[in-house]
Amino acid sequence: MRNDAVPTGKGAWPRVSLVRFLRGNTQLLILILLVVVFSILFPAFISRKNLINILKQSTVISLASCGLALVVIGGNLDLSVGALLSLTLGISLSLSGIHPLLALFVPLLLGVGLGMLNGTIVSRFEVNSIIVTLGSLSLVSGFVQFYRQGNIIMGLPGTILTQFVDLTVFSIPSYVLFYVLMAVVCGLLLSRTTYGRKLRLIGVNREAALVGGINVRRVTTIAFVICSTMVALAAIIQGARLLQGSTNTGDGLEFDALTALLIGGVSLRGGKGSILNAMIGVLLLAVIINALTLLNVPFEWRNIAKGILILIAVSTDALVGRRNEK
Amino acid sequence: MRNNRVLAVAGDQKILILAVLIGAVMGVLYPRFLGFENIISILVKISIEGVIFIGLTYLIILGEIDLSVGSVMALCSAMSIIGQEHGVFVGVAAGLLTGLAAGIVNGLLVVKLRIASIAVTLGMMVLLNGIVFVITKSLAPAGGNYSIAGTNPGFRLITDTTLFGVPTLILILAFLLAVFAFVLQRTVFGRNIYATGGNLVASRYANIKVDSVRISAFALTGLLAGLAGVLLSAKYNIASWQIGTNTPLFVITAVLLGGVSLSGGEGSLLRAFQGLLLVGVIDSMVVNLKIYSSARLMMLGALLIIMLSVDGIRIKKERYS
Repeated sequence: MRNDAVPTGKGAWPRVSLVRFLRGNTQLLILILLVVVFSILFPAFISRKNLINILKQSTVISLASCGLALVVIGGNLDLSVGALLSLTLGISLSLSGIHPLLALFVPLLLGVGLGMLNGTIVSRFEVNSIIVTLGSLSLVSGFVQFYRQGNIIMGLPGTILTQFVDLTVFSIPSYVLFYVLMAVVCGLLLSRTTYGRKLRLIGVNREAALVGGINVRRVTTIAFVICSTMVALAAIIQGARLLQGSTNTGDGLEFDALTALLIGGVSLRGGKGSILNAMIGVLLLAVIINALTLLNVPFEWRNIAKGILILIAVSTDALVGRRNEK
Repeated sequence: MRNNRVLAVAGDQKILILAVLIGAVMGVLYPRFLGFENIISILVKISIEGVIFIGLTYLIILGEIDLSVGSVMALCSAMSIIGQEHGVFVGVAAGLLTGLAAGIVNGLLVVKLRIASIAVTLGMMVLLNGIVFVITKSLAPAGGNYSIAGTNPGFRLITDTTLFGVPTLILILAFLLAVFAFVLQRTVFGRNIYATGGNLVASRYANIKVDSVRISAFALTGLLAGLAGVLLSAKYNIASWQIGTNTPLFVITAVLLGGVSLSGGEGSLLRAFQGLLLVGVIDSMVVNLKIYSSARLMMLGALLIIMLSVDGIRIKKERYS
């Protein structure tokens, strides 16, 4: 029901009943179903340690998917997130030896900068966002390889960043709480603010938004900036967590995040979906991958499973959408 | 006025001019750069991705996109390495048919289920990459990096032969370019592709069989990616799951540098080929200047962004003047 194309004012939210909510969120239903089935099949799945592990491993993809969801719902696409992750991770790690604050702020600035670049070219020159971000993907990942030559970069332990990452609340790591918080913020931004409604309207119908006097340029650029900033945050956290990274850490992140969005029910055509959908997609992907590991399925089958998942997700979405049209 | 016309022509052909310019500067710096051998090696380097490039140009003019071409190429090279044990012909056929099948599946999913092509082919990209990994890992000798090689020396003759000093790879690419440029410009099928890419709904009302045009273009792209896989396994005698992961990005960049618009309905194959040529020239420059190969990626990205900005400013100016 949050999938409604454009929310029309305060009274427009439908009355929430649980059944109706679940019917509108098939993906959530599937997630719950899978968790129940896996818990019955493998006792190891439901253990506290395993569940926390799933959450830990989803850090980067959650942050990236939240940011990307905003861009996608606004009717664009950002393919440069993986390259940006590699870049900011490398820079955050190398700067952590000089000063932890540099390791925090320089990557964030880079994220904001790349987001501005992508967003400005896309909205100002009205170029397809795939081409623009393809260009910035090549630019950034070429730069990363140029600058680091495939070496492993080590970070410095014992900084304020690593101390933050090591904090736990009821044995849940602080960074998991952090990304959940960021997801809530993004969700509220999208569903409860004028900015969010403008963004969604642009995703549904850009011309109408223009005619309606919305500053399409600014709204679109901000979405790109948020997306890149979220990726930079993910890189800083990942750097502080693992204290090492290589130039290809981020390879394919854009496709993983897109997979999560598609599985969660965010349409690539723009306008449809929510941050909740994105997070459900991330969890669905993580739970399925985790179950494959518990089943001792060899590593190389993982991509087959992922590919089939994407195809099933987009096909059912298309079929259900067509049925609703009739 | 005359000055303006010169500028307009220069703006129109800027990619070719840039390629020639780089070639001239490099030719002055390194006389060998414009030698026969180096030009041949530039062309050989772009020829395998060039075969895929033809298919993607068709698809992008049609307003669609295919991200799975790299995975299809890898899968087909694995198939032709497996098939060549039973003879050269079986190897070639195995590669081509696999590519054709993958293309048809892409087309059916996009057209019949009405899913965005970027979503379908993203799924196929990941899925086929997984299949290649499973196949090569199960066949590869233990302890290696999961790559397999063929044993049929006859198969390798496909690309190891030369005609008047020109390797067959280049001849194949030139032949395909000529045929498909002709088809695109001079046949009903080609015109239908432009029409469908320009306006799908209007084309449907004009009694063009839009669905079959789109499915054929996907099938064609799959078939060409299959051919690229066959050529790849013949030339380098290797199949691995790491092959082709960058191919869609490279090829799409080349097509876009060649002036084809992602919104469909515009562009021409021979003009787009200039984009591919530029990629090849930059590649060779990087090798000759002995700078890191990653610089190639950086330059292409920067070039794409600069081009877009220049085009964007120009279009804006035209619109508001």
